Amino acid sequence: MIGLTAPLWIGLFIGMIIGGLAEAWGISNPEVLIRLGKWQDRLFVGCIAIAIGSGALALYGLAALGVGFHWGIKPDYIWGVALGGAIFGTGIAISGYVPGTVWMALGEGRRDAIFAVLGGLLGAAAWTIIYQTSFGHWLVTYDNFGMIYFGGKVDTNLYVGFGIAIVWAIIMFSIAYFLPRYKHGKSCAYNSLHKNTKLSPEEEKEQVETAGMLLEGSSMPLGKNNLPEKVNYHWTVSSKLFGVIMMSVGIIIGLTVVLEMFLHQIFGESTTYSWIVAKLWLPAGAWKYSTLVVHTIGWEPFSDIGTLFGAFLASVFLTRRFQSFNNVIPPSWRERFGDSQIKRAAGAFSGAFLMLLGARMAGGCASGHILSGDLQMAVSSLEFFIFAMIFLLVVAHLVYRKVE
Amino acid sequence: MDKNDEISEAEKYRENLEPKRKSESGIKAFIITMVGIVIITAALTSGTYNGYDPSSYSVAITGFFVIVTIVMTAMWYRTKYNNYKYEPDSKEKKN
Repeated sequence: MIGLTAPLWIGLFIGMIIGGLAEAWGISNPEVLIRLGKWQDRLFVGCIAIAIGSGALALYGLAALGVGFHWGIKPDYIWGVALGGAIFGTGIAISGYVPGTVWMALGEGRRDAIFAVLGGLLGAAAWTIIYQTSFGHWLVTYDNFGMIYFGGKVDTNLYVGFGIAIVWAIIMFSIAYFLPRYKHGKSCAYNSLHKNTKLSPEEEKEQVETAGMLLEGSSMPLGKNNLPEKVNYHWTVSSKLFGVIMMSVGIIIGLTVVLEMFLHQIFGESTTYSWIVAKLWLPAGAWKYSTLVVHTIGWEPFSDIGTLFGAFLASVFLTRRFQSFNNVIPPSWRERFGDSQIKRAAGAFSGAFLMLLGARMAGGCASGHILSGDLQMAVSSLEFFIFAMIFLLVVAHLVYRKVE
Repeated sequence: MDKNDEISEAEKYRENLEPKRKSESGIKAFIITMVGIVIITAALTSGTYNGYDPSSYSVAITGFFVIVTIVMTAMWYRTKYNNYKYEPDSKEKKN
């Protein structure tokens, strides 16, 4: 078997690749996830589906050929994962962030990300305290089926796993191919295949609004006829998810996660919050969850710094969306709650609190469960994704609906 | 797909709103230098260790350099473009 374990600091590079590409997609902007919750812009679903499909094929194909991986399938404790997913989805709907995009937003110079980091740390601390109680113990032990994927126990039946990965990849690519990006738009498949299609007025409007929303608050003039203009007005707002650029970015992210699993571990972002809590406030030894975290965390603190730094570099050199901590309120939030900075700070803080509490309860977040976990075809990650999506859609509908 | 009209109009509209780009070579050289410093700091302080629980000091010093880079860049852009902020619904040209 071919295997390798890289030094921890190499995680910086992995984080930088993923952070930079995700910033270019615009996912560091909380409005993008709020619009996903409103089912108005499904970019995130399409992009993640491409990454999962391509990553699953590469991972199980290479594993079946004898390449050794550091698997990171999260145990499926049914009730804890479901409750964690529900709280996580609620937190995303309120804040517009997942743990990784909080770091990316900080790198992009977003002011509300500062409050999201603080709320996230408090959320992680809350789970460390709950874990110590009998309720916390029950959540992670009752109906716990262990680390299982669609083909059985982790790192077993790899030929069967590869067969399932082919079917899984077809499902993921089909979602990205047939799901329209915009609420009133045509499917990505249609837009990708019909190169001379004239967009409908609704879709044109959505595309222009998305470009404006992604650039809003930027402290850097964009200039004209240059790469940042192409990125902001064409590539990242396009509904052609099966266009060469959008698809390559998805594939690169999927393959980077596989590379990360070969070198050291899965791509995860939320454990670092619990690790910081363990180092600053609730020390290992005295707190069971902190002990667990420090004994299992690898290069995540470095890959999280890389995510932050990669997003920063992309926002300065590639997209010119760096905000220099200007006051920017996401448009959906502004429409519903006005442009009070205090209200937005409270929303970012409380949403991030719930989001991190849910992520730590379920054992992972959008990176550890939804990207890396679903790429490994983990049963727990599929369950987490379903609960997180249901609650994201329902809570976003309730929070951002138009009020007379 | 041809470049659609609304997108072209939005681009022109933004070009009219934003200030002219000035030379940014100084800050970009600073950022590139800091990229090197961050990577070297992480590599030297963490070494070849590939186990669990990274050194808090190594993470803290690496993160510190990243934060310094971001804060310095924010200050530079705020000063250079006189607190410019792109507002898609704005009607006036800034600066």
